[in-house]
Amino acid sequence: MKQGSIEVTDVSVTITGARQVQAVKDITFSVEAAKFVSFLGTSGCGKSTILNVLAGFIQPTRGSATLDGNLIVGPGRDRGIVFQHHALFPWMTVWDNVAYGLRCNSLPNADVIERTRKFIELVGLQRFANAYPGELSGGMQQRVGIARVMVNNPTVLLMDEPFGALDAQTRLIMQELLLQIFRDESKTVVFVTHDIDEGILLSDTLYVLTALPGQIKACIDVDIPRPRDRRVFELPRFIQIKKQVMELIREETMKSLL
Amino acid sequence: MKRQLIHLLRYATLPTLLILWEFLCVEGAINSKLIPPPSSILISGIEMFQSGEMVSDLLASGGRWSMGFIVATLLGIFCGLLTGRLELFRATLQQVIQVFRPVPAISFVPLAIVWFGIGESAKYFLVAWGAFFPIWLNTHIGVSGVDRYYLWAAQSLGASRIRTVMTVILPAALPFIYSGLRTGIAVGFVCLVAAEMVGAYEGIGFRIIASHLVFRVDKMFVAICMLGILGAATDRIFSIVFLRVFPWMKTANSTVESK
Repeated sequence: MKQGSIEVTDVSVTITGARQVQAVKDITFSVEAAKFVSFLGTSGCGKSTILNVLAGFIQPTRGSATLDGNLIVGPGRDRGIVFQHHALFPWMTVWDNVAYGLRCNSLPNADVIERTRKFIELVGLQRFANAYPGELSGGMQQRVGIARVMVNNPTVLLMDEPFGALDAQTRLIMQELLLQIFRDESKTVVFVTHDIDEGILLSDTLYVLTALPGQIKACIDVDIPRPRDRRVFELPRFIQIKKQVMELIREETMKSLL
Repeated sequence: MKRQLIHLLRYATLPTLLILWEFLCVEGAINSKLIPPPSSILISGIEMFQSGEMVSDLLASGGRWSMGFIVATLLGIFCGLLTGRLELFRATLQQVIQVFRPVPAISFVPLAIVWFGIGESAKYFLVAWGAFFPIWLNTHIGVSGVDRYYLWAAQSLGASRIRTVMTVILPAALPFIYSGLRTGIAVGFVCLVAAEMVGAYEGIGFRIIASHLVFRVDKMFVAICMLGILGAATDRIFSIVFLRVFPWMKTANSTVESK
């Protein structure tokens, strides 16, 4: 059986800080192995909270999240996460950033070198292996961020608005790179974004969230055949889905503004 | 034009002041007994180097300072890690350390002599004591403020606790540790001179007091100038070596800005 199926049942998270905020409420969904799902919503609707629960960084106040039937209780190598910012350790070279997970795993040195090289090549950064993250552009930094989690061969890839800070051209190139990785490596991907085009281009299933506290407002199947690339943007079916999603998000934005 | 003026001001001020000083001494406007002219300070300085006393003073002071500073660095970073990351140690140590911190380190000079005698250990102790607090405090601040995303990333990549400390927490706090160490360098010198002025037979602080007793103001000036040069050189060398060892510190700021 393929690994990487996720079940999330009735998850609510209340974040206790200066004041209590309910970030997400009664979230239930499941992801089949090797499927790509995205969470779409207005900013601050608790999208990242769902990922943080799956990553094991925070524990749900109620409900449960499982991966292949095992309760998620903490962070683990089976779930690699890519953040929008602070992705990389600025004190390590690209090479050391990518090799980090392997060294944590105490792999033999020859394997560390081989796998690190493989994934740096996968994201096309051979020439920058000895550069520090501070010397790279935003797009290159995110490539390193992806390579760094891919070396550990996780069953699930969690991505928290990974391309949100990139310019439009770079973002498209990164999206196509991700589509290629998704096709070749067959991982379950849970992706968070507020970019509707991005969500439709990449996903098998789209979840639209309500404004705070985040609840699942709608679940949309993106039945556009793979392999996909930028030409997807011109398909009538794409435009149809986009209209539908825009309408849903507009409702929520209006609600949160009023 | 403006740049040339700035350049001129930068490099011409010190020589001008020295020439003025020399001139006023020669003219008798300044009492040369109390403030000797630069030329005679320079001559005394050369004599002191030739006779070997300045070399042995420098070696003695340098050795004491280094020993004390190394101890302060190790202890300061270690304590900073404990109180910065572990609630247990923070609760236990914070009050204690906060009581000692505002006490000027040089007020411990007589006490150190009572405890350690007038041997070398008293000087090591005083330098270490003075330099410890800025190093500890800065490490504490840096270590307790590590961005949680760095910690999350390390955890989900499978890093153990020890590995997280060594490869994530300490490097992330390094800019703070760096400024703590630089403050520690300066405070260490203050304590060194204070310690050497009481119960020592060599060292730059001792040389000031010894010259004072025989009213050799010129030699006092030489020793004071050496302190200035030594302090500035140590700080400079430290910065250069630090940025050579941790080259990413120069580029890290651009990562922070891009968010």
